[in-house]
Amino acid sequence: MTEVKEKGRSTIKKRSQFKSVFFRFKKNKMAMFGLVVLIILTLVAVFADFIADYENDAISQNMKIRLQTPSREHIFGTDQYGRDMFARIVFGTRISLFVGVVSIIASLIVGAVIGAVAGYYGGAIDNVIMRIMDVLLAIPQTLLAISIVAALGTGIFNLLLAMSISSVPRFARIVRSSILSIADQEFVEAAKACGTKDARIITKHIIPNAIGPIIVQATLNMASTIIGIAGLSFIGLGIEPPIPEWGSILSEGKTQMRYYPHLVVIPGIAIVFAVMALNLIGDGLRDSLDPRLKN
Amino acid sequence: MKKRKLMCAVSCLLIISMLITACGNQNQSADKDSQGGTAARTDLNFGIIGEPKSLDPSQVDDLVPFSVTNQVYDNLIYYGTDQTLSPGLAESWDYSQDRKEITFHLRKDVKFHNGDVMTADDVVFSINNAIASPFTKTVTSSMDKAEKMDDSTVVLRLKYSYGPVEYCVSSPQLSIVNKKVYESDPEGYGRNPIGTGPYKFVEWKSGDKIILQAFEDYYKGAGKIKDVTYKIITDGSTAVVALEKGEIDIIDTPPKTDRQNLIDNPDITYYETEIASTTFIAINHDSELGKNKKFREAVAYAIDRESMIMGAVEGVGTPIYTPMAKSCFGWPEDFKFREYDVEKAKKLLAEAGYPNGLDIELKTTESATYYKPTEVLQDQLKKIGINASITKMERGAFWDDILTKRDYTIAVSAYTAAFPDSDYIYSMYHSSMIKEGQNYFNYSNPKLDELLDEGRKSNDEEEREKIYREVCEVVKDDVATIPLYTYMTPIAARKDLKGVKAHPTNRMFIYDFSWE
Amino acid sequence: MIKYILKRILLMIPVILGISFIVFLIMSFTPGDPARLILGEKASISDVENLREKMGLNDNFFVRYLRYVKDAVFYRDFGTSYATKIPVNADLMDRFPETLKLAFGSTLIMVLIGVPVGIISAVKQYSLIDKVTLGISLILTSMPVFWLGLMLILLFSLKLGWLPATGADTWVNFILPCFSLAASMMASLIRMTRSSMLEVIRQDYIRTARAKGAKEVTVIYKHALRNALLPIITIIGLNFGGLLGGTMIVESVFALPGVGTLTINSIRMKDTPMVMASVLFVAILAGIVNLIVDILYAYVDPRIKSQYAKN
Repeated sequence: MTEVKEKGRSTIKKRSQFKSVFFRFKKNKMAMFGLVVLIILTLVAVFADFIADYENDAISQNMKIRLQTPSREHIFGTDQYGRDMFARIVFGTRISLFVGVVSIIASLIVGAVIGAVAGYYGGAIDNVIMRIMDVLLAIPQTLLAISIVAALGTGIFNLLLAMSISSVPRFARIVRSSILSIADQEFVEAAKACGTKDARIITKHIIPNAIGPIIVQATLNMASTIIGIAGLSFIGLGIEPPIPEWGSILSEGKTQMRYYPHLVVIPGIAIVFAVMALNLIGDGLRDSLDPRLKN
Repeated sequence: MKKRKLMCAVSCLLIISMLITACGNQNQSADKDSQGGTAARTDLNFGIIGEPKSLDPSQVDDLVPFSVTNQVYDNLIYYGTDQTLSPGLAESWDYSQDRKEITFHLRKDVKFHNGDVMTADDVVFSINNAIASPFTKTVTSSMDKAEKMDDSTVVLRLKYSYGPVEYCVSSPQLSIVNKKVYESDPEGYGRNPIGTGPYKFVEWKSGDKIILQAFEDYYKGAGKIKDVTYKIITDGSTAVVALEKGEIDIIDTPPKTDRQNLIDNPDITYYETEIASTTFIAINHDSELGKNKKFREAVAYAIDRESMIMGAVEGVGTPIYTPMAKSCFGWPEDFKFREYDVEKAKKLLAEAGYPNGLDIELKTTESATYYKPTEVLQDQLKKIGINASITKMERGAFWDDILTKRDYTIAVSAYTAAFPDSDYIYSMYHSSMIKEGQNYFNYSNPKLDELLDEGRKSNDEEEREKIYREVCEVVKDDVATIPLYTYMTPIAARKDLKGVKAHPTNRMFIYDFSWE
Repeated sequence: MIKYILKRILLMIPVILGISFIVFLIMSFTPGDPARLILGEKASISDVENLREKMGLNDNFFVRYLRYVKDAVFYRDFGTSYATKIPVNADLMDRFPETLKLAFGSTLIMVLIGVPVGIISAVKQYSLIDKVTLGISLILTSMPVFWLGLMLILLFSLKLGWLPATGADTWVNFILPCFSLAASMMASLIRMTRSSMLEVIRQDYIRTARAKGAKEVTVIYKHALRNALLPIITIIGLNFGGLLGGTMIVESVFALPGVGTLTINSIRMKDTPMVMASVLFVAILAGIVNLIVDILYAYVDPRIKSQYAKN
């Protein structure tokens, strides 16, 4: 922290950017609530094996106890094959969060590289790359994902691929605009004249500039990825049985929905919580980073 | 500023006018439906779960299009819902000495919906067209060709004498089409069908509805129901709600999950009968595991049929232990298969060479008829140490792999008996059917071949019963396939609709219906 | 002005070509043989081979793609569906009114509810109403649209029986689907309206208007709203693509016979001509809406208008 003296006033300490963003984030109650929910869900996902028994409860069928409404023994009831809903939802958390995180990281890396190349080299390369990104953006995310999964088949890898591809253009755009906004500035020219390596410019200026919007985008994209996966599983193009992904639990419960609504209501609530938490965090971050809201 | 308001107003108007004009067209059909009062209704709203790909009888092979084609077309022989055969477009028919030729004497008073009179040319064309179609092999495998004798006489030559041939002739795929119209536009016939049946085609709005109207010149007299609207409803539960609210009057095969609800509903009558179909596990005897008899036996002992029936058809079914369906002549009633025994299954699996279990793939398709039992099977195999992964494929791709490429180890399959005679399994179990027929199990057993041939040739009822009982024994001993269950096929209709009857092959004739 | 419109239309073309290329590329990876799909399970191997030759399926990728583009552009022939065996245009024409109704109906609901709510939220910033609306819109947006649809069906159709669940007979059938779709996308519109209004309200000319004694209603609607309108229109346009993606799932849930269900079914059946046609339809529609939004934008924002008036 450096001290800045102003005439006639007591010194105001200048916080580092990260700390000030975090401070503002903490003040935002809703965003903190989202963070707490996300942490809880992450813990559930990581320690799922300790909370519920995968083999016996989530996967194994037991016709004798099928279609039970929530009770002391089965907090969320059982499904049409006698599997414990609570266990299934718990393990579903792991799958949804896992696919969400992996696909976002993958698309972030790919998108960042593409955006960096486009922004840095400019000219024709930039044009071509951004046109391709525009085309990808013009295809609705759902449609693109469905086409890819339907073409290549179901399975975790294809699902990850389908979800990642739609997010790549957005990250590419952010990185590119960050580079463009920096690259023009005089201090970059000056730094280059001094002999500063490109890598240094990138790490010291471009990344800090871009990282804020990237994280915001990442959380928001992860939210829509989780909904996207659930949607795909709902149509039957997602994760195969008997793996308990929230969307497929929903899809399986649909036929019994009228007489056993808990099969549909509960997985839906799980999705809402996860997505809402991510949205709150993303919004909170966006507000924290917004210079106009500095007071 | 004025311009701004103007733009807003214009855009709003545009949107509203679009909605109004679009909806205006629909309101007419809604008005027609509400006919109450003292006069009996003459319209019918039929809910079908799924949409036909085509209404050309020789180009389709599943029940959804049949429920429409059964009203639009006629056959030479009529197989009614009372499960008897009677003359249809043919007044009478006689057999040659060697029973390899049937001579049909056609009715002379039959008209097509476009006014043309039906002649032998149409019949000959329809039959030969069906024989040539790749979709009809189950019912046309015994047929060679049809020939015209004169304007109202047609001879059907068979490749061999075939007892159940009359059932084949009555199958929906051998309906009679209009030769002139068909030849002028073969691809379009399926979207604009012309038949001789009691209902003529009016309109097909893709994804929405198909409309038929009573054919006043029908040779048996016009039907009592005059206007039929098939509403295409993709989700079973919402179809049931529509039925309960009176938005539709009848559903063919409502979902089993709603069974109790429908039975309890005082405004609805629930009909059901056992379907002439078996659900079984097909085994590919060319695959490494399929060749291994101990493996096959292990799987056979791992099957808990009761749980399967609960999981797959909500308990509305019965276990089956034979390769042929119950409704068939020759079905041995007291025949039993292996009982559920997990320990024995595990032992056999070890003896087969897999004491630590193994991984296999189960292919299935999106239709609940196939993937639900597959999911239950996956769980039951797990309990004896076999880790099965499920690959859900699209219907065409699934059958491509199973029937053509024979790329599978075991898979849950189902087969409907086209006619109520055990001989229908010939095309699936006889070794001659491996290349050109439907023996997609690649199963070859000379003893079984011999029995099947005898059963086909013989005309002695008692003898045939004995033969088919032995067939069941052979299939059981060698574990050719593993039979699982059969289930009830239902119809749900408003209780004022009379003449409805459930049929083992889901045949339905609106001609028989009327409102009270 | 005309120049601007023409330029935008011309820009759409390479994008659409790009989309067609990508989708064609994806579809070419699908396993399964279209000829087998057409002929069905029981056809013989030689039949299938013959059909493959006839359909030109054995040519290489680029030849097939260029042939497709040529047929589409010059002959308006988008191919024949593998499933129904008739030209794809027929089915598409039958179905697209339903999708249009759904898309525009949802947009209408979104605007009619979202904009006023956003305005009220802005005017009564930080009040209970503000917090509640933000909260509700957040929850709605966090729901998968198909789940919201299912819940609505469960409540209004199955339990209460007030509204029909499926089909597309009358406008009543569209209430639940449009509402589901609108609700799931409304949050960003409410948020944008709110922040846009907030920005405008803080401006000096608003204070001037109030000082002049204008009624609050006049201030809000006559002065604030028209300036806040621009970002609102932009968001509607930008979201339209996502809205169209949402129609696919909503049509599935409510069994509406629109382009969405057609697309999903044809993707499942590997009916490439139909998939291509449906995707292109969606893309062109989104493009047209964006174009209209851009034009409206240009009209409404005097800065842009003057820029082109000069030319």
